[in-house]
Amino acid sequence: MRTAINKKRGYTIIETMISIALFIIIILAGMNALLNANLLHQKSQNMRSIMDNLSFVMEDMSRNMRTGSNFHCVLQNDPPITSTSSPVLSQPQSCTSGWAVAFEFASGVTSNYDDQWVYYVDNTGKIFRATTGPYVQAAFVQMTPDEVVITSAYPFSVLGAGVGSSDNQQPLIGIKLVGTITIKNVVTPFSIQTSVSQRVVDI
Amino acid sequence: MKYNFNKNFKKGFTLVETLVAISIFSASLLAVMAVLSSGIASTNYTKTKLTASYLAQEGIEFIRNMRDTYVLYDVTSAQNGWNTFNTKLTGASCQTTGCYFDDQSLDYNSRNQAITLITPVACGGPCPQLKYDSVTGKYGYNNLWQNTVFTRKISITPIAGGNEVKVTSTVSWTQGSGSYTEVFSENLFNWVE
Repeated sequence: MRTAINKKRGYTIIETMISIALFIIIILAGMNALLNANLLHQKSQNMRSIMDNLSFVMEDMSRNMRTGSNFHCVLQNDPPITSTSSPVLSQPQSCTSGWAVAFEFASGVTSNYDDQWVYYVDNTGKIFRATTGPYVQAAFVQMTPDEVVITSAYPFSVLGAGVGSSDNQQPLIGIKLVGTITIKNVVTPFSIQTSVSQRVVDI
Repeated sequence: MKYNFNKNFKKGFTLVETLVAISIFSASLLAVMAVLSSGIASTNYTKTKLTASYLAQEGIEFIRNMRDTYVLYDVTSAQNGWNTFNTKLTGASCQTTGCYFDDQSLDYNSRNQAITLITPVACGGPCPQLKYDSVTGKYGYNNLWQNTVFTRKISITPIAGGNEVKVTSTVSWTQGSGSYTEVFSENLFNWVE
Protein backbone atom coordinates (compact mmCIF):
# COMPACT_ATOMS: atom_id res chain seq x y z
CA MET A 1 0.00 0.00 0.00
CA ARG A 2 2.65 2.44 1.04
CA THR A 3 4.93 1.56 -1.85
CA ALA A 4 2.05 2.09 -4.26
CA ILE A 5 1.58 5.71 -3.13
CA ASN A 6 5.28 6.37 -3.35
CA LYS A 7 5.40 5.14 -6.91
CA LYS A 8 2.73 7.67 -8.03
CA ARG A 9 4.11 10.16 -10.45
CA GLY A 10 3.89 13.93 -9.85
CA TYR A 11 5.86 16.99 -8.83
CA THR A 12 7.37 17.32 -5.43
CA ILE A 13 6.76 20.55 -3.54
CA ILE A 14 10.38 21.57 -4.18
CA GLU A 15 9.99 21.17 -7.93
CA THR A 16 6.77 23.19 -7.91
CA MET A 17 8.33 25.96 -5.86
CA ILE A 18 11.35 26.17 -8.07
CA SER A 19 9.27 26.27 -11.22
CA ILE A 20 6.97 28.95 -9.81
CA ALA A 21 9.94 30.98 -8.67
CA LEU A 22 11.54 30.74 -12.09
CA PHE A 23 8.26 31.66 -13.73
CA ILE A 24 7.85 34.71 -11.52
CA ILE A 25 11.39 35.88 -12.13
CA ILE A 26 11.08 35.56 -15.88
CA ILE A 27 7.68 37.26 -15.96
CA LEU A 28 8.97 40.10 -13.80
CA ALA A 29 11.92 40.65 -16.10
CA GLY A 30 9.67 40.44 -19.12
CA MET A 31 7.17 42.92 -17.67
CA ASN A 32 9.98 45.25 -16.82
CA ALA A 33 11.31 45.12 -20.36
CA LEU A 34 7.83 45.62 -21.77
CA LEU A 35 7.12 48.62 -19.56
CA ASN A 36 10.49 50.08 -20.42
CA ALA A 37 9.80 49.65 -24.10
CA ASN A 38 6.47 51.35 -23.66
CA LEU A 39 8.07 54.24 -21.81
CA LEU A 40 10.69 54.58 -24.48
CA HIS A 41 8.05 54.58 -27.15
CA GLN A 42 6.11 57.29 -25.37
CA LYS A 43 9.22 59.38 -25.00
CA SER A 44 10.12 59.14 -28.65
CA GLN A 45 6.52 59.84 -29.61
CA ASN A 46 6.52 62.98 -27.47
CA MET A 47 9.84 63.96 -28.95
CA ARG A 48 8.51 63.55 -32.45
CA SER A 49 5.42 65.62 -31.92
CA ILE A 50 7.53 68.37 -30.38
CA MET A 51 9.93 68.23 -33.31
CA ASP A 52 6.91 68.48 -35.60
CA ASN A 53 5.79 71.54 -33.72
CA LEU A 54 9.23 73.10 -33.89
CA SER A 55 9.37 72.40 -37.59
CA PHE A 56 5.96 74.00 -37.99
CA VAL A 57 6.99 77.14 -36.10
CA MET A 58 10.16 77.47 -38.17
CA GLU A 59 8.27 76.87 -41.40
CA ASP A 60 5.55 79.33 -40.40
CA MET A 61 8.09 82.03 -39.65
CA SER A 62 10.19 81.48 -42.76
CA ARG A 63 7.23 81.17 -45.09
CA ASN A 64 5.50 84.32 -43.86
CA MET A 65 8.71 86.34 -43.82
CA ARG A 66 9.57 85.16 -47.31
CA THR A 67 6.30 86.54 -48.65
CA GLY A 68 6.31 89.58 -46.37
CA SER A 69 7.94 92.98 -46.76
CA ASN A 70 8.92 96.14 -44.84
CA PHE A 71 10.88 94.39 -42.13
CA HIS A 72 11.46 95.99 -38.80
CA CYS A 73 13.86 94.18 -36.52
CA VAL A 74 13.35 95.05 -32.86
CA LEU A 75 16.77 95.65 -31.32
CA GLN A 76 18.17 94.40 -28.04
CA ASN A 77 17.65 97.67 -26.21
CA ASP A 78 14.27 98.47 -27.69
CA PRO A 79 11.33 98.59 -25.28
CA PRO A 80 8.74 95.79 -25.23
CA ILE A 81 6.21 95.95 -28.03
CA THR A 82 3.11 97.70 -26.74
CA SER A 83 1.76 99.43 -29.83
CA THR A 84 2.56 100.15 -33.48
CA SER A 85 4.47 103.26 -32.48
CA SER A 86 6.47 101.79 -29.63
CA PRO A 87 8.82 100.67 -31.07
CA VAL A 88 8.08 102.19 -34.46
CA LEU A 89 7.13 99.06 -36.33
CA SER A 90 6.35 100.93 -39.55
CA GLN A 91 9.98 101.95 -40.10
CA PRO A 92 12.27 99.45 -41.83
CA GLN A 93 15.09 98.45 -39.51
CA SER A 94 18.06 96.15 -40.10
CA CYS A 95 19.91 94.44 -37.29
CA THR A 96 22.49 91.81 -36.48
CA SER A 97 20.49 90.31 -33.65
CA GLY A 98 17.00 91.26 -32.66
CA TRP A 99 14.49 89.67 -30.34
CA ALA A 100 11.50 90.42 -32.55
CA VAL A 101 10.62 91.02 -36.18
CA ALA A 102 7.65 92.96 -37.47
CA PHE A 103 6.73 92.96 -41.15
CA GLU A 104 3.96 93.58 -43.64
CA PHE A 105 2.15 90.32 -44.27
CA ALA A 106 1.84 89.16 -47.91
CA SER A 107 -1.80 90.27 -48.19
CA GLY A 108 -1.47 93.19 -45.78
CA VAL A 109 -2.23 96.81 -46.60
CA THR A 110 1.06 98.68 -46.98
CA SER A 111 -0.37 101.98 -45.77
CA ASN A 112 -1.80 100.39 -42.65
CA TYR A 113 0.86 99.82 -40.01
CA ASP A 114 -1.53 98.22 -37.58
CA ASP A 115 -1.72 94.99 -39.54
CA GLN A 116 1.95 94.09 -39.35
CA TRP A 117 2.82 90.58 -38.29
CA VAL A 118 5.10 90.31 -35.28
CA TYR A 119 7.15 87.37 -34.10
CA TYR A 120 9.07 87.57 -30.88
CA VAL A 121 10.82 85.44 -28.29
CA ASP A 122 9.96 86.34 -24.72
CA ASN A 123 12.28 86.09 -21.72
CA THR A 124 11.00 82.62 -20.85
CA GLY A 125 12.00 81.32 -24.28
CA LYS A 126 8.59 81.02 -25.92
CA ILE A 127 7.84 82.22 -29.43
CA PHE A 128 4.83 84.46 -29.83
CA ARG A 129 3.07 85.74 -32.91
CA ALA A 130 0.63 88.57 -33.46
CA THR A 131 -1.12 89.04 -36.77
CA THR A 132 -2.80 92.34 -36.08
CA GLY A 133 -2.59 95.34 -33.81
CA PRO A 134 -3.02 96.75 -31.28
CA TYR A 135 0.04 94.92 -30.07
CA VAL A 136 -1.07 94.34 -26.52
CA GLN A 137 -0.30 91.16 -24.62
CA ALA A 138 -3.60 89.54 -25.62
CA ALA A 139 -2.86 89.93 -29.32
CA PHE A 140 0.07 87.53 -29.12
CA VAL A 141 -0.40 83.80 -29.46
CA GLN A 142 2.13 81.36 -28.10
CA MET A 143 3.54 79.20 -30.90
CA THR A 144 5.87 76.82 -29.09
CA PRO A 145 4.78 74.27 -26.49
CA ASP A 146 5.95 74.55 -22.88
CA GLU A 147 8.47 71.74 -23.38
CA VAL A 148 10.44 73.91 -25.81
CA VAL A 149 12.61 76.68 -24.42
CA ILE A 150 14.46 78.94 -26.84
CA THR A 151 17.73 80.00 -25.25
CA SER A 152 18.88 82.28 -28.06
CA ALA A 153 17.40 85.53 -26.86
CA TYR A 154 18.06 87.35 -30.15
CA PRO A 155 17.28 84.88 -32.92
CA PHE A 156 16.56 87.29 -35.78
CA SER A 157 18.87 89.18 -38.10
CA VAL A 158 17.73 91.39 -40.94
CA LEU A 159 19.90 92.64 -43.78
CA GLY A 160 18.86 95.39 -46.16
CA ALA A 161 15.51 96.28 -44.64
CA GLY A 162 15.37 99.71 -46.24
CA VAL A 163 13.99 100.58 -49.65
CA GLY A 164 15.35 102.79 -52.41
CA SER A 165 18.60 104.63 -52.96
CA SER A 166 19.75 104.53 -49.35
CA ASP A 167 19.74 100.77 -49.40
CA ASN A 168 20.90 98.52 -52.19
CA GLN A 169 20.14 95.10 -50.88
CA GLN A 170 17.20 92.74 -51.25
CA PRO A 171 16.09 91.97 -47.67
CA LEU A 172 17.59 88.81 -46.19
CA ILE A 173 16.34 87.56 -42.84
CA GLY A 174 18.25 85.09 -40.72
CA ILE A 175 16.53 82.99 -38.08
CA LYS A 176 18.48 81.03 -35.47
CA LEU A 177 16.56 78.90 -33.03
CA VAL A 178 18.72 77.45 -30.28
CA GLY A 179 17.18 75.83 -27.27
CA THR A 180 16.19 72.72 -25.42
CA ILE A 181 13.32 70.28 -25.40
CA THR A 182 12.55 68.94 -21.92
CA ILE A 183 10.38 65.87 -21.61
CA LYS A 184 10.17 64.26 -18.17
CA ASN A 185 13.61 65.45 -17.07
CA VAL A 186 15.24 64.40 -20.32
CA VAL A 187 16.77 67.46 -21.94
CA THR A 188 17.45 67.41 -25.67
CA PRO A 189 19.25 70.39 -27.17
CA PHE A 190 18.53 71.62 -30.68
CA SER A 191 19.89 74.29 -32.96
CA ILE A 192 18.14 75.19 -36.18
CA GLN A 193 19.17 77.95 -38.53
CA THR A 194 17.82 79.22 -41.80
CA SER A 195 17.74 82.39 -43.86
CA VAL A 196 14.99 83.70 -46.08
CA SER A 197 15.20 86.12 -48.95
CA GLN A 198 12.22 88.41 -49.43
CA ARG A 199 10.27 87.32 -52.50
CA VAL A 200 8.68 90.69 -53.26
CA VAL A 201 11.06 92.87 -55.26
CA ASP A 202 12.63 95.48 -53.00
CA ILE A 203 11.56 98.69 -54.75
CA MET B 1 23.78 -2.54 -12.75
CA LYS B 2 20.06 -2.40 -12.80
CA TYR B 3 20.13 0.92 -10.98
CA ASN B 4 22.36 2.42 -13.61
CA PHE B 5 20.16 1.15 -16.39
CA ASN B 6 17.16 2.85 -14.82
CA LYS B 7 19.07 6.09 -14.42
CA ASN B 8 19.75 6.29 -18.14
CA PHE B 9 16.03 6.37 -18.80
CA LYS B 10 15.47 9.41 -16.60
CA LYS B 11 13.63 12.17 -18.38
CA GLY B 12 15.23 15.59 -19.05
CA PHE B 13 16.30 17.98 -21.81
CA THR B 14 19.03 16.99 -24.19
CA LEU B 15 21.73 19.52 -25.00
CA VAL B 16 20.28 20.07 -28.49
CA GLU B 17 16.83 20.81 -27.11
CA THR B 18 18.27 23.31 -24.67
CA LEU B 19 20.32 25.01 -27.35
CA VAL B 20 17.31 25.29 -29.68
CA ALA B 21 15.17 26.73 -26.88
CA ILE B 22 17.80 29.27 -25.90
CA SER B 23 18.46 30.32 -29.48
CA ILE B 24 14.74 30.85 -30.20
CA PHE B 25 14.41 32.88 -27.02
CA SER B 26 17.42 35.07 -27.78
CA ALA B 27 16.41 35.55 -31.41
CA SER B 28 13.04 36.91 -30.37
CA LEU B 29 14.69 39.09 -27.75
CA LEU B 30 17.10 40.47 -30.36
CA ALA B 31 14.24 41.28 -32.70
CA VAL B 32 12.49 43.29 -29.99
CA MET B 33 15.72 45.12 -29.14
CA ALA B 34 16.32 45.93 -32.81
CA VAL B 35 12.87 47.47 -33.15
CA LEU B 36 13.39 49.56 -30.01
CA SER B 37 16.81 50.85 -31.00
CA SER B 38 15.71 51.69 -34.53
CA GLY B 39 12.91 53.75 -32.99
CA ILE B 40 15.39 55.78 -30.96
CA ALA B 41 17.75 56.11 -33.92
CA SER B 42 15.02 57.38 -36.21
CA THR B 43 13.95 60.00 -33.67
CA ASN B 44 17.52 61.25 -33.63
CA TYR B 45 17.65 61.11 -37.40
CA THR B 46 14.49 63.23 -37.62
CA LYS B 47 16.10 65.91 -35.50
CA THR B 48 19.27 66.04 -37.59
CA LYS B 49 17.32 65.94 -40.83
CA LEU B 50 15.23 68.90 -39.71
CA THR B 51 18.38 70.92 -39.02
CA ALA B 52 19.90 69.80 -42.32
CA SER B 53 16.86 70.72 -44.37
CA TYR B 54 16.79 74.26 -43.03
CA LEU B 55 20.50 74.64 -43.70
CA ALA B 56 19.98 73.39 -47.24
CA GLN B 57 17.17 75.87 -47.76
CA GLU B 58 19.45 78.61 -46.47
CA GLY B 59 21.98 77.83 -49.21
CA ILE B 60 19.30 78.36 -51.85
CA GLU B 61 18.11 81.58 -50.23
CA PHE B 62 21.61 83.08 -50.23
CA ILE B 63 21.96 82.53 -53.97
CA ARG B 64 18.44 83.75 -54.61
CA ASN B 65 19.13 86.88 -52.59
CA MET B 66 22.32 87.45 -54.60
CA ARG B 67 20.37 87.12 -57.84
CA ASP B 68 17.77 89.68 -56.74
CA THR B 69 20.31 92.11 -55.35
CA TYR B 70 22.45 91.95 -58.49
CA VAL B 71 19.54 92.37 -60.85
CA LEU B 72 17.97 95.19 -58.81
CA TYR B 73 20.96 97.25 -57.90
CA ASP B 74 23.59 96.86 -60.60
CA VAL B 75 24.51 100.43 -61.43
CA THR B 76 25.07 99.77 -65.13
CA SER B 77 22.00 97.78 -66.10
CA ALA B 78 19.82 94.99 -64.80
CA GLN B 79 20.98 92.70 -67.59
CA ASN B 80 24.51 93.36 -66.52
CA GLY B 81 23.49 92.45 -62.98
CA TRP B 82 22.27 89.06 -64.12
CA ASN B 83 25.49 88.52 -66.08
CA THR B 84 27.67 89.52 -63.14
CA PHE B 85 25.70 87.16 -60.93
CA ASN B 86 26.41 84.31 -63.33
CA THR B 87 30.06 85.24 -63.69
CA LYS B 88 30.48 85.24 -59.92
CA LEU B 89 29.00 81.78 -59.61
CA THR B 90 31.01 80.26 -62.43
CA GLY B 91 34.10 82.06 -61.17
CA ALA B 92 33.72 80.17 -57.92
CA SER B 93 33.49 76.85 -59.77
CA CYS B 94 29.89 76.43 -58.61
CA GLN B 95 29.06 74.43 -61.70
CA THR B 96 32.02 72.08 -61.49
CA THR B 97 33.34 71.28 -58.02
CA GLY B 98 30.61 73.13 -56.19
CA CYS B 99 30.96 76.15 -53.94
CA TYR B 100 29.94 77.43 -50.54
CA PHE B 101 28.72 80.77 -49.30
CA ASP B 102 30.42 82.27 -46.28
CA ASP B 103 28.25 84.98 -44.73
CA GLN B 104 30.71 85.70 -41.93
CA SER B 105 31.61 89.14 -43.22
CA LEU B 106 28.01 90.08 -43.92
CA ASP B 107 27.45 93.15 -41.75
CA TYR B 108 23.75 93.12 -41.01
CA ASN B 109 23.91 96.48 -39.29
CA SER B 110 25.36 98.43 -42.17
CA ARG B 111 23.01 100.08 -44.61
CA ASN B 112 25.64 99.89 -47.32
CA GLN B 113 26.28 96.22 -46.89
CA ALA B 114 25.15 94.23 -49.89
CA ILE B 115 25.33 90.52 -50.34
CA THR B 116 26.95 91.21 -53.71
CA LEU B 117 30.15 92.22 -51.92
CA ILE B 118 30.60 88.61 -50.92
CA THR B 119 31.83 86.09 -53.42
CA PRO B 120 30.99 82.42 -53.14
CA VAL B 121 34.07 80.32 -52.51
CA ALA B 122 35.01 77.30 -54.58
CA CYS B 123 35.06 74.08 -52.60
CA GLY B 124 38.02 72.72 -54.55
CA GLY B 125 37.66 69.13 -53.51
CA PRO B 126 35.33 68.20 -50.68
CA CYS B 127 33.43 71.21 -49.32
CA PRO B 128 34.42 72.39 -45.84
CA GLN B 129 32.34 71.36 -42.88
CA LEU B 130 29.98 73.88 -41.40
CA LYS B 131 31.15 75.22 -38.05
CA TYR B 132 28.94 76.14 -35.15
CA ASP B 133 29.27 79.04 -32.76
CA SER B 134 27.91 77.89 -29.43
CA VAL B 135 27.67 81.48 -28.17
CA THR B 136 25.38 82.90 -30.82
CA GLY B 137 24.07 79.62 -32.19
CA LYS B 138 25.18 80.42 -35.71
CA TYR B 139 26.28 77.95 -38.35
CA GLY B 140 29.06 79.27 -40.57
CA TYR B 141 32.66 78.90 -41.62
CA ASN B 142 34.63 80.55 -38.81
CA ASN B 143 37.57 78.28 -38.01
CA LEU B 144 37.43 79.14 -34.31
CA TRP B 145 33.98 77.62 -33.97
CA GLN B 146 33.28 74.02 -33.12
CA ASN B 147 32.81 71.32 -35.74
CA THR B 148 29.43 70.07 -36.84
CA VAL B 149 28.48 66.99 -38.80
CA PHE B 150 27.11 69.02 -41.70
CA THR B 151 28.69 69.90 -45.03
CA ARG B 152 26.87 72.22 -47.39
CA LYS B 153 27.61 72.31 -51.09
CA ILE B 154 26.00 74.69 -53.54
CA SER B 155 26.16 73.79 -57.20
CA ILE B 156 24.61 75.41 -60.24
CA THR B 157 23.59 74.18 -63.65
CA PRO B 158 23.06 76.83 -66.34
CA ILE B 159 20.00 76.07 -68.45
CA ALA B 160 20.16 76.60 -72.22
CA GLY B 161 19.11 80.10 -73.23
CA GLY B 162 21.16 81.83 -70.58
CA ASN B 163 18.19 83.20 -68.65
CA GLU B 164 17.80 80.37 -66.22
CA VAL B 165 20.03 78.65 -63.73
CA LYS B 166 19.33 75.67 -61.54
CA VAL B 167 20.68 75.96 -58.00
CA THR B 168 21.18 72.83 -55.96
CA SER B 169 22.01 72.94 -52.28
CA THR B 170 23.18 69.69 -50.76
CA VAL B 171 23.68 69.18 -47.04
CA SER B 172 25.36 65.89 -46.18
CA TRP B 173 26.18 64.37 -42.85
CA THR B 174 27.09 61.08 -41.27
CA GLN B 175 25.19 59.69 -38.35
CA GLY B 176 25.90 56.34 -36.77
CA SER B 177 27.17 54.18 -39.58
CA GLY B 178 25.14 55.81 -42.32
CA SER B 179 25.74 58.90 -44.41
CA TYR B 180 22.78 60.99 -45.42
CA THR B 181 22.09 63.89 -47.74
CA GLU B 182 19.38 66.48 -47.99
CA VAL B 183 19.12 67.97 -51.48
CA PHE B 184 17.11 71.07 -52.30
CA SER B 185 17.04 72.70 -55.71
CA GLU B 186 15.43 75.73 -57.25
CA ASN B 187 15.46 77.29 -60.69
CA LEU B 188 16.29 80.99 -60.80
CA PHE B 189 15.34 83.12 -63.75
CA ASN B 190 16.56 86.38 -65.18
CA TRP B 191 13.38 88.27 -64.49
CA VAL B 192 14.33 91.57 -66.14
CA GLU B 193 13.83 92.41 -69.78
